[in-house]
This record gives sequence, structure tokens and C-alpha cells, in this order.
Amino acid sequence: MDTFSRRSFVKAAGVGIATPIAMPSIIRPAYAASGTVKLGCLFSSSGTMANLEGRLNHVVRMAADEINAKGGVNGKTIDVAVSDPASDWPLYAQSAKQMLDQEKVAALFGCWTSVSRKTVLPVVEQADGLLFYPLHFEGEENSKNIVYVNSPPTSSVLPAVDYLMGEDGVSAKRFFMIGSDYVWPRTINKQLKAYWKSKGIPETAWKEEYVPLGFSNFQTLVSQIRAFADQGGGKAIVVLTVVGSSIPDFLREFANQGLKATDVPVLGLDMVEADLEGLNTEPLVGHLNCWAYLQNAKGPANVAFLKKWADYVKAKNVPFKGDVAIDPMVSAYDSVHLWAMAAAKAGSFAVPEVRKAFAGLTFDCPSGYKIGMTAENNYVSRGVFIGSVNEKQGFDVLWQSKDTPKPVPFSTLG
Amino acid sequence: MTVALLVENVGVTFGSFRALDALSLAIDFGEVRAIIGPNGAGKTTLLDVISGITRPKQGRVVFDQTTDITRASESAIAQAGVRRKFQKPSIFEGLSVREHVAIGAQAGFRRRMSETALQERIAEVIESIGLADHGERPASELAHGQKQWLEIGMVLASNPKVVMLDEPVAGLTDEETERTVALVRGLRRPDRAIVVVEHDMDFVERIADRVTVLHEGKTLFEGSMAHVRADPRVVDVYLGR
Amino acid sequence: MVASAVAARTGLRRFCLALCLALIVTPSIAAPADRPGVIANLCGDGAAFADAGRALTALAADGSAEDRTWAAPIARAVLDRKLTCDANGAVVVLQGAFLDAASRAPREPADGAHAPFLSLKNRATFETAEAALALGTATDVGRRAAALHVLEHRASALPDTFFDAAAARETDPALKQQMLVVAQIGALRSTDPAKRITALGRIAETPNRRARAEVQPLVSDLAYAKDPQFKQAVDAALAKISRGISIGDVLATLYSGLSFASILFMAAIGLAVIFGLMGVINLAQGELIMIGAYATWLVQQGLRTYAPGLLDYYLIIAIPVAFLVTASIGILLEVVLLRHLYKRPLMSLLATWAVSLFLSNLVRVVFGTQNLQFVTPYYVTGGVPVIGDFFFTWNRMFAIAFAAVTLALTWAIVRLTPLGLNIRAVTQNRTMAGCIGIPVRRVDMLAFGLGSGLAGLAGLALAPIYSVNPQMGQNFIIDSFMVVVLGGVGTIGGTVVAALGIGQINVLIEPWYGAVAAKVIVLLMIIAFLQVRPEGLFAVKGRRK
Repeated sequence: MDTFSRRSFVKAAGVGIATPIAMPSIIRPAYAASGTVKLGCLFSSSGTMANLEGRLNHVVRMAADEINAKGGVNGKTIDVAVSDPASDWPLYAQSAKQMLDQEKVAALFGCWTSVSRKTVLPVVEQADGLLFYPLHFEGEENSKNIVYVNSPPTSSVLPAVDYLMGEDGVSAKRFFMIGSDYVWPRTINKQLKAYWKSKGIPETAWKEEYVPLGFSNFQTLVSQIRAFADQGGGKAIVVLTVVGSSIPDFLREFANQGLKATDVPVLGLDMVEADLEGLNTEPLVGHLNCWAYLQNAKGPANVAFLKKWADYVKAKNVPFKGDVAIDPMVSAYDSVHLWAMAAAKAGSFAVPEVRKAFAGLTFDCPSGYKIGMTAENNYVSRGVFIGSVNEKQGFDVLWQSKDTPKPVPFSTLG
Repeated sequence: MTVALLVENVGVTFGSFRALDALSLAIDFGEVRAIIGPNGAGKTTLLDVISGITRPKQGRVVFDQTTDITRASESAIAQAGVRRKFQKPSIFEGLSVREHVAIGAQAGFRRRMSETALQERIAEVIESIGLADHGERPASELAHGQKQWLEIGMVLASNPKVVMLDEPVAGLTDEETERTVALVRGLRRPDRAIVVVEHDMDFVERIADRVTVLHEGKTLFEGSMAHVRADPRVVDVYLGR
Repeated sequence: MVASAVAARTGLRRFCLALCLALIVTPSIAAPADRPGVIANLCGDGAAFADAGRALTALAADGSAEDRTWAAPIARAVLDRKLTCDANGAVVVLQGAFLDAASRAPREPADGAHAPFLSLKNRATFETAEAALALGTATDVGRRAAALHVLEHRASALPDTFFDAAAARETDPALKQQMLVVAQIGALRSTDPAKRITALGRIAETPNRRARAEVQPLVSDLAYAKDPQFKQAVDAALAKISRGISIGDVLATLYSGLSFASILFMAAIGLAVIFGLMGVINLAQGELIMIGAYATWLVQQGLRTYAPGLLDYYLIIAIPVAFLVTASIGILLEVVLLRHLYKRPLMSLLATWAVSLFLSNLVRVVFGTQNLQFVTPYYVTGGVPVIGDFFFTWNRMFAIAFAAVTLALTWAIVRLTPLGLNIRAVTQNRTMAGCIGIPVRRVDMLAFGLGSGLAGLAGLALAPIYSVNPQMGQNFIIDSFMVVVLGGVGTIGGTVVAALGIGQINVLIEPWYGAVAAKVIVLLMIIAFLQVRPEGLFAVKGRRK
């Protein structure tokens, strides 16, 4: 039930008038007074990723406000510059360059898809900038200029797949992988296959399919999944790595063809609460995702975070729901705090100094885990959650790790 | 005798080429006027100006003494009662013969006549153009001559005040020309002016009351066909070749 | 070898299961169900919870009518999370009233009451229990049929005699027959060869991959080698099932192709009308589709507030709204912008592109970027299995029927009305149409309105299938261009044939080479075809200006 009240409608319209419409990569000036330090956001507020990335801009602002309210960092207040790369991968690099060269930002927070991160990578390396990347991803990368705030596969996907293969899960024996056709799904699936091979599972037990980005006609694929599941030979599951609007389109077709989570569970690796908005989730109850944070995570840190976000949405007329929080939001929130802590520890905003200060940082993440960084690399160790779709368009916590597994940048598999 | 169509001091240029050079012309109701002249004399341009396809640089065109149609749109001019048949048989190839006549009878969206009246009118017109047996055929299947007649039929269907025919017998056999002569003669009415552009002098002679000879965008001569044939200037620039 | 090993393992598992069931079931036959015990297990740890689920299933099989009536709401409540545990046992919510789960006396849950959490595995257990209980207790035939549908997949979790017993109790003859068919899966393992052969025949009546998975292992059964009659029955059943699966697969492919074609057609028809008439490439067509979907959503929201009783029919009620809203936008666009650009095709192309950006961003700031939620009325929910693994989904059928009606109406407008006659005349010869008195400008405007309105209807038809958000239009513009260009610009017939062709070919290629390759191959085929026939499938007669 997400009806628009008239007030929110008027509010949204008001915001619309106040914000320039579709001006890709034009950075709104952040007036640099002498007492400020600037941070930059690289999240799209138009195009296919807008619904997901758009909200992260606001989270970064919220975190900055929070730090400013406590006196800022090194005596300076944080100022956040926002750009709109319009879901267009090369534009991320261009915006990043502009931010670093012209706005002189101290750190960048941005990117959702791995494609966009890969385009920004050379830019931050050349300028020796710092990019905080808030998504769980395929790993296989370790740049001194990127802080990988979320988990590589070994500490997110593999524990989830392990769970499903175990007695507590569904004793999954056969796997149908569907992904959008780009680097993240292909790498994840490659690692999964290598993992299964290492467990002695034969190649006949899995099937791999890719669809173009933005694909929506899943009729044939879901029929294939039904046939695959009915062939016998053990419980089949779907490992879903499609992204964007393909996720709800897939789920809708899946439910319509009469498949339930108890027949064939779907592990949606990029599936977040926001993807379920607009879906009737009753026939989808039980499908799974895995992240380093779920909205239903227990603990006071999460309660505080959710309240902060709800209040912020209300106070600032943010055009996103105040009662939905997704992992990348929390990861972006953690990012800003980690950066501020490092800058404070270093007593400087210079990237090499800040980077040196990362080692040994810890932060009480809203997920309830104490997340931390080491001198070894720029990865952040996070907890692992497996979520299960409930009838209220959210995820219940089905399983969570005891502590924060150490992130392994490069997989020994595949 | 009232003037149906007054062309006054009309000039049209295409780049540096003067298609019509301050041309003036008056055509009366009840007459059949032929316009002849060598290629490039401005015959078709004149028809284009009258029907609103080409806008003149100077001058004006007055219909029925009171209505200035110089700047009116093609459809407004047609709705007023000035209709035209094009040089090349221009028909709508996907439409049937009956549909052509129906469009001719009432183009646009306003219904001017009842369904039965319309059907009667269509029957009458396709009878008169000799296509009664071909009513449902797509126009694209018709022979060349039949297409010419169909186009005349479309013009005819609207009961126009001014009929302009651009080369109605070009490419027709002798027998077809004969039928066209009868058709055009049948169109003649006291409250209607008929303008025919044609190269076929025999045809012109058999239908026209008066003939206007155009040359380089100007009137070279105006009078009966007999006089035309006798005029040395006309013979020089046009007929004598 | 492998097959026999599988058979052995299956046998072992079945034996264990039977043993477990026997352990639970035995006391319940002797005495009424241990209700507090079941409730205690429900509120116990993971293993106890699963035991409670199996106990409920056992009650469905062997419990007294009274016990079954008691147990049915509990299984349902666990799935709906309407059962909460507290220190005094558990409380269920039945028809809005709080009742003690064991005694059914009214009682409020104590503070700190929590609903037991369902893991995926336990969810399956309770779904089975719920369906098994509903099969024996539900008063509504439809509900019982739905329960049977759930249990069909899970026959192995139930005692062999379960379906026979249920069939004996069943009053509806059709449903009884279905139950007897399901019961055959148990009879397949009977020791009586005659029974097994009958069972094979019955199972082959509903051929699908699941049936094949049941029958296939019998090839390695001892009886297969020894008993020629049994061998014959198994072979015949397998052949029949395989044939059924093949037929089902063919039908499924045709249906997928048809449904994809109907979507392509809906997206392209408006474009075909506009492009055919004016030669204007309307890049805002996708956004008009999106606006049609948003108009549909607004109608839904309006009905929710003012006429909740009609909410289920919003897809029908929204038809004129979606059409008129987008048609008005189209007319406005034509009058304000495109009318002045007809002689400059490139400019009009760019102008419509600008309009598309404007519209999608306008919708984005007004409504936000999230997917809209649509109620799914019963007539577009779920589907029915037909033959083999062919599953007939209603939302696709809605799109197909909608496309068929749209096609018929568009055809009627273009062929039978004065507007249609005028549109065709202007399409074929603009100058001449003007000269015989057709108000060309007005025809342009109305045709643009018609084309835009058709896009709005496409949005409506797509709302139950795809996600509706400000970006949705972009997905359709390329596909619809393929259809229009392949069909031959501006012909309805061409649009239909091209949509059917592209839809079907796409669906045929997809299972072999994947969705990415399917798109590429279809595109290459179209390019190759246009080399041979640049005017498309159906050339427009006459000249276009």
C-alpha cells in the first residue's frame, strides 16, 4: 500500500520545481567557505538506476549533517556536492573527474553497478582520490583508491549459497543462474561454479542464462526454470543476479506461473526492499537475498538509524520512502562516518594521510555488527544476513553470521 | 456573365526563374477555358497558385468576386468549391473507387449529406465516369484512362464551382479521349467555370470556349481556338514547332 | 547403475519417513490429538516446530474429523503469522478474534508474544500441513482444489493412503477424480502389479516433467526386466508422457511468442499510425506508453478512494481515461511543436526526443522513481496448467486479448469511419488530399491523437505484466521501431505480421542461445531482410510526402 497522499504529491511536485530537470553531470555548486570540507556523490538521480541510487545522495547528506551537528571534522563542516551521472556508465567517470579537479572534493561516495565503478577506477587512481563504494560486488579488485565498504562474494554470496545447500536451508542440489549480462553477474556465477565444482557437484546440476540489461520478458526463462526444477535430481534453486527493473519483472512472472518459494526458492543477490515496492509479495514470501544489512536487523543502532532516516525524509522532503532502508544506504552512511573518523584520526584531509588512518578503525554499523578495517587492504569487514521476503514487501532475517568474516578480495575459486 | 475566378497581377518566382510574371486572368462562370503554352510557360504553376499549393509573391486570386483565396489553405479552397485534377493521375492507390468518390463528395469530417444521398451521389458519379462496374476495386488496379476519369469523378462528386483539369487526356487512346471529351462537355453548367490545361490541340478545340496562351509566365494571347491558330506570335512560340 | 542407486536411496528415504509418520501417527489413532503438546512444539525450537508441522499433517491423514477441524486454522495461522506464542501457549486470530490456540477460548496474547519464524524448510512443511488439512475440511470446492494442487507436488510427504482416503470423503465428482489420479503416484510403488499398471495409465493422463520423473526410475525396477506386461505399460506411459511434454512445450512456445507479439504490437501500433501518416518519428512514444500506465494507476487510486467496490475492474474503467489522457498529450504535442517541423524531419525527431526526456523527468519529479503498485485483479492473477508443462497465465492472456481488441478497433477506425478514410487519403497523397478539401492539418492532429491514445492503451495493457516507473518507456521504443520498420511503414497488417514474427522468432531462439543472443539474432535477421526488401513486409502503396 504505497498510496500517495495529496500532501506528499504536492511536496514532490514542489521538489520537482525546485530541482533542475535532467541535467546530467552538472554539479550543483557547493559554496566553499573557508571552514568547509567538500565530499562528492556519484549516484544517479535519473535513468534506470535512479530509484535505487537516488536515495544514497540523501543518506550521504544526512550522515554529513549528523557529523556537522557534532562539530564537524578537524574543525571544518562537511559540505556535500551532488552530481547526476544519469545511469550512464561513462558519465560516472566524467562526473568523478569534475568533482576531483574542479570541486576539489576530499572523498567520493558513489557507484552501484560494477560497470560504473570500473569506469571511475582509473580516474580516482590518476588523481589519487578516494572512492567509497557501498555495494556488495564480485571482488577481484583491490585499489588503494577505493574503499570497498561492502562485501566481496566470499563473505556474502558463498555463505548464503552454503546455507541453502545445507540441511537448515533446503538441501539445494541444482542451480539455475540468471543474470544481467555484465561483469558482476558473470564473475559471481564463475566463482559459484568453481565453488560447486570444488564441492564435487557435477556440471549437469547447473544452468546459466543471461539477459540484456533492462530485460523484462521473462516468460520463456521462467518456463525453463519450471522444467529444470521438475526434472528431478534434487532440490533446485535460482541464483538471481539480474539488476534494476528486471528484478520485479522476473518475480512477477515467477509468481504468475505458479511457482512458490517452497517449490523453487530464488536467491536474489541484488534484491533489496526497494525492488519489492509495487509488487504483491504474498505469493513471493520465502524468496531470499543476502546483504550486510537488512532493515529488520535487531539492535539499538538500527532503531536509531531508521528513526534518523524517517525524520530526515520528513524534514527535507526527500522524494523516497522514510520507512524503507536498504543495505547500500547503510553502507553509504557507514562510509561517511568511516571517512570522518579516518580524517579526524589523521588530523588531515589529504588522501594519503586519511588512507593510512584506516587501519584499526571500527564503527557501530546499524546492522548491529562492529565493522572494521585493517592495514591489509581497503576492505571493510561486515556481517552477513540472509533475508526472506515477507508479505509486507520487506525481508525477515532468516539467518545471520555470528561475527564479521574477514573479507577476501581475491577469490581462490575460478 | 459573372467572373468566377479573377487572377490579378500574380507573380511567382522559383529562385531566379519567373514562373508567373504579373499574370492577370479572368474566367467566367459557364465557360470552358483552355490554357495552353509551351513547357515552362507557367500553366501548372497557375493552377498551383489557384488551388493554394503555391503562394504567390505578389498579386491576388479572387473567387466568385468576393472571396480572396490567395492565402487560404488548400482544403479551405477546395471546400469553397474550387477543385482540381492533377497532371499525373494522382489517386489514392489503397482506396477503392467508391471510397475515392466518397472523399470527393464530402472530404473532411463534417457530414454534408445523408448516407442515402451520399450513396446516390456516388452511384451517379461512377455511372457518369463509366466505372459503375468497378466500384469496389482498388484504384491501383484501374487502367490509366480509368484513373484519369476517376480523378475527374472525385472532382465532380463535390459539385464544384470551379473545375481545374491538368492534362486530362495525356497518355489516353483516341477512344478514351473521345469519352473524356463527352465527360468534360457534360460537366459544363452555367454556374460552373472549367479550366483545362492541355497540350492536345484537337481536344482543346473540341471543348474550349476560349483559349489563353501562356508564354514565360505572361499571357501571350487570349481568344477562340480559331484565332489562336491564326495568331503569328502563337505559331511562332508554340504551334509552329 | 546410477538409476538403481537413486531408486534405492529414494526407497530408504521413504522408509524413514514412514517410520517417522508411524511414530507420530500411532498415538493419535488410539487417542484424540495431544493438542497442548502440538501447541508446545509449535512454540518450541526449530526441530520441535518442524515436528509440530508434521504432526498437523498426520492429523490430516489419520485424525478424527474433530481434530482436523481443530488443526486446520492453526496451520493456516502459522503461515499467515497470525499465531503468536506466549508464556501460556499460543493465541490465534480467527475472524478478527483472539482465541487460545489449544482450547479456542477467547484470550488476549500476553506481552512479548511473538510469531514463530518460518524457515524455508519449515514453510514447506506447514504449507503441506495446511493444504492436507484444507483438503479434508474446507467447505469451498475451489479451496479444496487449490489444496490438491499444492499437494500434487508433495505426494511423497504424505502417507500412501492419504489421497485414497481423501477421495473417499470427497463429494465433488470432478475433484474426486483428480484425487484418484494423484493417489496413483502412491500406487506406483504398490506390490500388486495390476495396481501398478493401472496407476501408470492414470499418471500418463496428466503428462508433464514431474510425471516423467516419477515414471522414469521404473525402467530400472526389477519388474521391468521380468514382467513383459509391466515393461509394456511403463514404455507406453513414458511415450505418452513424452508426447504430452512435447505438445505442451510447443504450445508454451507459441503462447510465449503470441504474448510477446501482442506486447510488441501494442507498443508499435501507435507509432505505425503516426509514422505512416506524417513520416514523423515519434521518440516520445515510449513515454506516452508510460503515461498511459500512470493514468491507469491514477484511476486505480481514484477507485480505491471513491468506489472500492469497482476496484477490481480498474483495468477496464481506465481504458477511456488512458486513451484520452495520452491522446490529448499527443494532440497538444502536434499542435504546439510538430506542426511547425513537418518539413524538417531531423528537427521533429530531436523535438520528440526532447519531449520524451521532459515527460519522463516530469513524471519522475511528480510521482517519484519507484515502481508503482498495481492491484492484480483476479482476472490477471496466476494461471492454469494445460498440458505437459504449458502453463496458461491470465495476465498474458489479458494482454493478448487486449491487443486483439485494439487491432480490431484500430482496423475499424481506419477502414470504416470518415476519419479513417481521411487518414488513409492523407497518408497516401498529402497534396491531393488537401486539394480535394480534406483538412490535412486536422487529420494530422487527430491521427497523432489516435496514435498517442493507442500508446496509452499499450501502457494499460502492460501494467499487469511489467514494472511501471518513469523509465519504462525506454524499453519499448527500439522494439517498436523494429516492428514498424519490418512491417512496412504505416500498415496495420504489416505491424501485426512483423510483431508476430519478431515475437515468435525471439521466443524460439531464446531457449537455445539465450536472451542476449536472441535480441542480436533478431536484429541481424531484420537488417538482412531489409537488404532484400527495404520497404518492409508490406510496402505502402502510393507515394508518401
